[in-house]
Amino acid sequence: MNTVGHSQPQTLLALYGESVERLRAAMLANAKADFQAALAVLQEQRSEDFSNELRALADALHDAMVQFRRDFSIAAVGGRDSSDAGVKLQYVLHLTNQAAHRTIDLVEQCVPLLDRTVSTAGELTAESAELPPKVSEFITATWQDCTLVRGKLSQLVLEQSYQDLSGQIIRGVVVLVDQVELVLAKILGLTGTSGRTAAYRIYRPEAPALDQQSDVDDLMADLGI
Amino acid sequence: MSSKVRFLVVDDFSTMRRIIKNFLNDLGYHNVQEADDGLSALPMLKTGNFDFLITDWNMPGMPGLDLLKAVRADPKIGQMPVLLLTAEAKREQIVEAAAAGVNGYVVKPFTSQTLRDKLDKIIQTRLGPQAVA
Repeated sequence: MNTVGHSQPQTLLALYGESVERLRAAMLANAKADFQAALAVLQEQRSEDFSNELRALADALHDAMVQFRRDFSIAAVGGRDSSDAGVKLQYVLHLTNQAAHRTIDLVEQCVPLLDRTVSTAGELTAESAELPPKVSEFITATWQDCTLVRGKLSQLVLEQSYQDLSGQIIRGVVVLVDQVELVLAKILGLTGTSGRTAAYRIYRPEAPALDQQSDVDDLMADLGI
Repeated sequence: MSSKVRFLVVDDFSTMRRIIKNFLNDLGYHNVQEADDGLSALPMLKTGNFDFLITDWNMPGMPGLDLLKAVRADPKIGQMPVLLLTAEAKREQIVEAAAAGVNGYVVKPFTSQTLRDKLDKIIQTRLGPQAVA
């Protein structure tokens, strides 16, 4: 892998010694034309060094992205032909969406069963005077437990909202990845390496938000709502 | 207790639509329909078949704030109670929503108590105590 700093760095003396010496000699001789020429050579060297560094950085980023594509092979994303970081994140979104829906499916299957038990237990509790005490206690406990579980299942559905929140963040990261890929393609183009192009989309950094629902309520109250 | 209030729930995430629908059902509101963004929601609202709009803010097509403004601009449905249910909790956004005429603002993630309190308050004041489930 071609990364920054793999080649041995040359000393400043080896890099610039000759040019600086020429510049110094021209300065001491007060030879303006020679001085300007030596200065131009130095500036060109500096610009070339900058380009080399930029190229090395772009190559390193490019290699990292190629490696990322290798690490997350086709099998790792459920058999989809995917070599794009954004597509992989979309797949994560798909998986969490599927898991949340499956969880809600299961809850929706359980709720009618519990509701039926709660309803029947409630009716039988009203007739508990005619039943043996142990059976009566069991019916009361069944009603209480099922009511409790029913509440917990409602809570379980509500907790699936993580999928919406994490999904919004993942969508933001997909936009960011697209932008990084676009910039990389541009840098690789500038430095003479071919890169793939990507659609340009703007990623807006988030502004600070209010932390609590109570803060939002206070603000809404201040606004007369 | 069952209520006859007719809800439209608008969110681009199908899980969130389902969560809110489940929650409303648990509270006794069984007349709930869904739309996945403002563009598909607006024609549904214009039919006049809804009493209450619950919408997300950040959606492709037509965001929740634009939907709110479109509702308020329509004389037929302009008085409909609107609750924004969103992950957006920036001060300027809340101020903007208030200026556009929102009736309630709930930040995700929310608790069932928070959502219930907001719904009860809005339904009671806008649709009358008899409409509360």
